[in-house]
Amino acid sequence: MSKNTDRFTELLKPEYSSALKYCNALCSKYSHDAAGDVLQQSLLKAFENFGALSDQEKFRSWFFKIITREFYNYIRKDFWRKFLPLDQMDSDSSFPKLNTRMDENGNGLLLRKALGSISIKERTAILLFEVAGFSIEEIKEIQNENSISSVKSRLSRARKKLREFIENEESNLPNHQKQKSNNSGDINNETIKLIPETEN
Amino acid sequence: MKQSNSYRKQRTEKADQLFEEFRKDNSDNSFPEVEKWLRNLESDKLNFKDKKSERKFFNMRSPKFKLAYAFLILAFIVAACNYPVTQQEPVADVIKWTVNVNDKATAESISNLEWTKKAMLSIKTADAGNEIAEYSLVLMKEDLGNTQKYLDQLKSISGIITIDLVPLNEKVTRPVYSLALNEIFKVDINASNMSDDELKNEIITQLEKNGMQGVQVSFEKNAEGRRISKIFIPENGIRSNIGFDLTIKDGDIVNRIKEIRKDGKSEPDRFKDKTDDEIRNMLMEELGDKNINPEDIKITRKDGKVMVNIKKKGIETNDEFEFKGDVK
Repeated sequence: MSKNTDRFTELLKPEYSSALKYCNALCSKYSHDAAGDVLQQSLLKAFENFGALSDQEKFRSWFFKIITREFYNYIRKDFWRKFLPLDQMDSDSSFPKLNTRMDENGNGLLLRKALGSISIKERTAILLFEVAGFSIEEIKEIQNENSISSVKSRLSRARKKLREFIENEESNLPNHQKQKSNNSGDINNETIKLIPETEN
Repeated sequence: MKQSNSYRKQRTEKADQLFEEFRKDNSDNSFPEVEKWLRNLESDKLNFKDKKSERKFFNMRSPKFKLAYAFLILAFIVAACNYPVTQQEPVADVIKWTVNVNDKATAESISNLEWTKKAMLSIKTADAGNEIAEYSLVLMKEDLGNTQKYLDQLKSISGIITIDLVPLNEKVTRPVYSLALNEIFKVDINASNMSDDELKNEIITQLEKNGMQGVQVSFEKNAEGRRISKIFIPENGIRSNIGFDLTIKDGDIVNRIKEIRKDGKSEPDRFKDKTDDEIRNMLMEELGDKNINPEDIKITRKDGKVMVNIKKKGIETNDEFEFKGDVK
């Protein structure tokens, strides 16, 4: 077994969970297979080009940069697919089936809808910050921006839009669903709270 | 710095709670399978490298390539449709037959055939000193379907010495697309400074040049004393499957006659046994012009013939559209 493969999987392992979450959240607006496709293409690209990575300390930001670029490629293909009969992304049938479904109920659904309401670059920036835990300086590098201030204002804009979307969604929820979304997780306590509601 | 502070302040919101829950979710345990997949890739590395270079240089499935193909194919189709092609087109057939002048019985048999009356007759002297009558009949394009029938009838007459068929073809160069579509020709005449005779000659010359026979032109004056051209084109005067678009600009009056012919629409009996309303409905359906009303179609019947006149005068301009024809 090649040393390169060992080293690649060794570096990938701690990042894998955040990478998968990042792909899931990025592709929240697209089909369930989209996140798997983006991750697979990113892994292929990263694996192909791993030898060219001179500073392995920078594996994390390098890998997330690849994911971001592959996500942009996916969107571009998705756009062209409307006009031309493009094939699905070059997917390898042996690639494992991933759990790419975000929680379809409650807060998971709300987050998915909220992320779908903001622009692609805003979504990428906020997810790199919140999910992958990158600093603003690192996000600047990943998104190929010239200044930190543009990343900061993008994050600020994204957050404002998310807040407005979530507030709007919550104000439209029926009362019992609002309570449900704020449940404590204690089934006995929740049942006790529900009894007077059903009696009325 | 002010922005950073405000950003930090915003973080204590519902969105943070959602992101926190999302980060904590650790339901996926697919890494071992992905690792296995990566290690399998390693074993195919040589093949993989080949595929990589192939993908870089010949990734024909990329959207850019597909768009380029679509554009090239479209450009090729447009260029191919406009490419001029030359073809031999049959214009007429000439049937020639000879008969001994003294063979009265044969001459009588020939004269019994109604269509031979149109043939030209010339008398020639053969080598043996006998006089030979040579008949020549020119069958125009619209009669070409009868050629074989006429030949068979001539062959059945025993006294005919020779029978020859000479096809007359002309070379026509036109774009490919016009071969595929029904032919249509366009004639524009500026009659502003022409006298009635000059205009009449011009119209007849232009239409005859395009294969129309028996064209009759007359002029009328409208209420304002302006000249209106009346053009009569007999139904059989137009080659089948050909359309025309004739525009005559006479001062500020524009007369336009347009006919687009389609296969199967010019049978002589198409109006036979039809009422006026049925004919109007047929024509409105054929012309497909929503601006033509039933009252614009005038139908007159004379000696078993049906005369159809469609006249439509524009409201905002002086355009006048006229369609005339007579059908048995």
